[in-house]
Amino acid sequence: MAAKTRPDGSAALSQYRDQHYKGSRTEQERALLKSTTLYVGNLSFYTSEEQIHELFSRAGDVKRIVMGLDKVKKTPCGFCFMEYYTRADAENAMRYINGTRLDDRIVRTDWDAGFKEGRQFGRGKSGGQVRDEYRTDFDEGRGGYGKLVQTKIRRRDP
Amino acid sequence: MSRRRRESYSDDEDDERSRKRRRTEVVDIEDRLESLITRVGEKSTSSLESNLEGLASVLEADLPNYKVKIMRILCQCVVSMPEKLTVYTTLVGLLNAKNYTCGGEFVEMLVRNLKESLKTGQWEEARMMVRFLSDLVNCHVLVAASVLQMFDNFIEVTLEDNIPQVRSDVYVYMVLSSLPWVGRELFEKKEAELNKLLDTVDSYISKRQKIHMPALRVWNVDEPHPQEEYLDCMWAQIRNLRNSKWLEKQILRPYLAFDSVLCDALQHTLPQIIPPSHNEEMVYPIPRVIFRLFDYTDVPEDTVLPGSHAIERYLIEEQIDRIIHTNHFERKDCAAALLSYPVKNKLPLNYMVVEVMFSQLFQLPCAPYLELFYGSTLIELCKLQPSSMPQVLAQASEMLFERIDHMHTICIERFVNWFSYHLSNFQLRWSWEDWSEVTSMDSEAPKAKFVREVLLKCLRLSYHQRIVESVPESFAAFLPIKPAPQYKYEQEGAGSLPGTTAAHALMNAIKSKCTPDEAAQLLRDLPNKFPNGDENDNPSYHPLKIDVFVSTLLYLGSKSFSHSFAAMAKFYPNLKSLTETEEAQIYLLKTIYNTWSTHQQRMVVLVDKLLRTEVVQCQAVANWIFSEQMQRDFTSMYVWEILHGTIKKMTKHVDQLQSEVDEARDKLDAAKRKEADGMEIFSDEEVPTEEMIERMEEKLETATSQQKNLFLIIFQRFIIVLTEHLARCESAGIDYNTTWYKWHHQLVFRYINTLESLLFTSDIDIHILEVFQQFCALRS
Repeated sequence: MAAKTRPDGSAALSQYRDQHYKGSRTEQERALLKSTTLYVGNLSFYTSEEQIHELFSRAGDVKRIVMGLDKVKKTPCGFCFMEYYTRADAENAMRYINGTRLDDRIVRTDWDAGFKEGRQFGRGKSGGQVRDEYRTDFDEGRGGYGKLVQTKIRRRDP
Repeated sequence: MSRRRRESYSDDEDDERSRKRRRTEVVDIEDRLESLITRVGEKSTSSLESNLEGLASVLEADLPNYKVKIMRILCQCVVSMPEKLTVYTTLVGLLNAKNYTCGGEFVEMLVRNLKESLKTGQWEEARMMVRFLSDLVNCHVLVAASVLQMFDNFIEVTLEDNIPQVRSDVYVYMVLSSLPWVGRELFEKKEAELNKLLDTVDSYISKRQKIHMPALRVWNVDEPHPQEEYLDCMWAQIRNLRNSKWLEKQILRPYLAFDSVLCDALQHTLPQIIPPSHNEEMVYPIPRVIFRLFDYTDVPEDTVLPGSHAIERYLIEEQIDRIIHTNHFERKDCAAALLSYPVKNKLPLNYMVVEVMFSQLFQLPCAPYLELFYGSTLIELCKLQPSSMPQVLAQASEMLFERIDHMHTICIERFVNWFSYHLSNFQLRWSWEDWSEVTSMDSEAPKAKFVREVLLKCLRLSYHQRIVESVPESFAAFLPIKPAPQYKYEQEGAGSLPGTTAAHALMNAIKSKCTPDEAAQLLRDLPNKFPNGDENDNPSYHPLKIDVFVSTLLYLGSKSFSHSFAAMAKFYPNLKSLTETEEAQIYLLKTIYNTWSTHQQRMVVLVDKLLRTEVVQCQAVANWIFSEQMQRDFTSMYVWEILHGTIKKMTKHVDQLQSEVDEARDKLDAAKRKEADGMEIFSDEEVPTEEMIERMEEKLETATSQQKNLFLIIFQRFIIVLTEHLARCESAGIDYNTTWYKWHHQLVFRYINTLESLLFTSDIDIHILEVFQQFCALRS
């Protein structure tokens, strides 16, 4: 019985909780446990909605994809929300897609409490995702170096 | 006074506490027992024998207090961990040697469970219990003769009249699949009786009907490997086992080490176990055909793959099947468990794992688990064994490709889906040169078609330039066209088209965010013509309006799926009012094709959306698929993807309406009962009225007749298409069994089941029945 309401293993909730969620922790967890929406991360900026659709439709019927956008440039910034019609299909995506590759990148999926207008935009200072502010590695699929490092490099240039 | 009360209070509390403590102790001990029992036989620093001996002593000590609990745990292990079957039979044997009553009570409990499983149709569990009981003979818990008696009772089912063959099959299978464990013992103690039993099985096997075979075969030829029905194959393996005096090399038998202890034990006689008689509701497992890919010549020289009729092949494959079953929710655990399966005798485990994975993926009519499960688990297997697994998979892919001419069309589809997915996870790297033979083949030849479809699917998961770069230049003809929308009103010659002015006006209006009404106004004065200027004398639809509106909308929304969907959502009223008739809906679909014929995935997704938003009906989609326009693409997999999706949605819709009606009925009935019992009905309980239910039933009836109609259309159109093909071949004097025939004929076969359940449950429509019989006759 316990397994039904709180799935174990790869379809279970992760430790991550969205800090911007409007509501209590308990409400948030309840919403996550019955959600049919996933957060999909570590995408290349160049990966299209169509590619994402093709991969995720192999886990079940896709209802809607909301591409994550840079809030300044309004271009894809490497994440999306994936909504399925049923919980079972979303669980299959968690089980069989999380950690596999799309466009040569390892895709990360996690439960999401459901898409709300405004959440499609990156929350980083420069418009993209926060992780792309502080990254120190060079990631071609995600605009090269992290934003902070980029500014430093630019400053050093004559 | 106050002090006394306090004392008594504290007394109570103490009592309460100690009760609690006792209860937690009991729970603790029970948990500990469960963990000890379920974990015996796992990897351990000490030997299995000493672990078993220790556990038997622990359990013996706990028997007086925890007997029922211990037995329940053991019974659970029988069905949930059949891979450790002999470990548990040995344990039961040791317990029985120490405590005869306990052994007897365990057998009683297991027999009760078995009878229940047979009654409720839990066939896999029943089979494991039968096998367990058989192995108890080896542990001196049961008398051989009484197990043989159970087998006799099971085999007698083959003599029953008027039963479906699947019923006798399942009982025969339960007996045969237990014989590797107990065959030797029965042979030594009851040879004559065993022979008699096997004779009955032999005559049953030789008389079985096998008309289901062609539908279940992955390969339609018996070269290089014969395609055998599962019971035939099992019987061949058992006959081989019999010829080797019932000795096999695969089963771990821990009880052999305890022979001196066990042989002194008293044995029990199994009570009579009579199969419950057949009834209409009983569902039996459907038959299978054994999938073979590898033989001993395909594996490395230092390993030995057991032949297809060696009992070892069966025993290992069954274990691999079980591991997949237990772990199918966790692909990483599954891959790890598969590769840590303990094999003896230099078996090529990775080959056997790959073969079983593909046998499940290609299983007809349906794979046991989601196709994506197999793909993602094969990736994990490659990650765990990077030095050998990718090569084995490449070898398997080569062999599947080599034999693709004889592969069932549905399996080719699954092969395409898996292969493209696998490539996209491994940088699209493949030695395409090895397959360059396809460049000189007929484009409909299975090999050529496979390559083209794989590249199309790779394109969906990647992008055009990437695909171009990943195949050799000689494959240029196989590359998909770069997807782009076709918009005639901006192409050369647009000036002479009757719709161009309106289209341009509409485009500007939509760009400046006009309302649906304003958009409709712009179309109002268009004449009822075809887009090329031809008159349309059918007043039930307006091709020019549809074409101008839909192609402009799609063109403007071409940037992504979301853009298309947003455009369709905003102008939903226009779409609805333009497509009130089926002709109009078909014309809408044609317009989509004209715009997006280079983007198959977009077509699939758009049709899905139009069906879900009820802009088009399922029947319109079916008629469009069979229309002249689509003939060109008729053997393309995406067309079948659309048709399959349409049928699936229709079926889901009917199922949902049915469950709504059932639920409402139940609620009303419950409320009526309550009322009759004089109980109060609370106003917050929503009780549906008779009228509400009637309305729901009307809706269901409409949907069911739509569903029937959909199948009728599909099959009628199919018959027409196939008959035309046969006639064409006859007049041209060529064999009808062309590749074209292959693509069509088998694809529709997947719906036979749905069709049968749809047609033969309720009132049979004579027209549908006719069509169905015609279709079946085509295959005979």
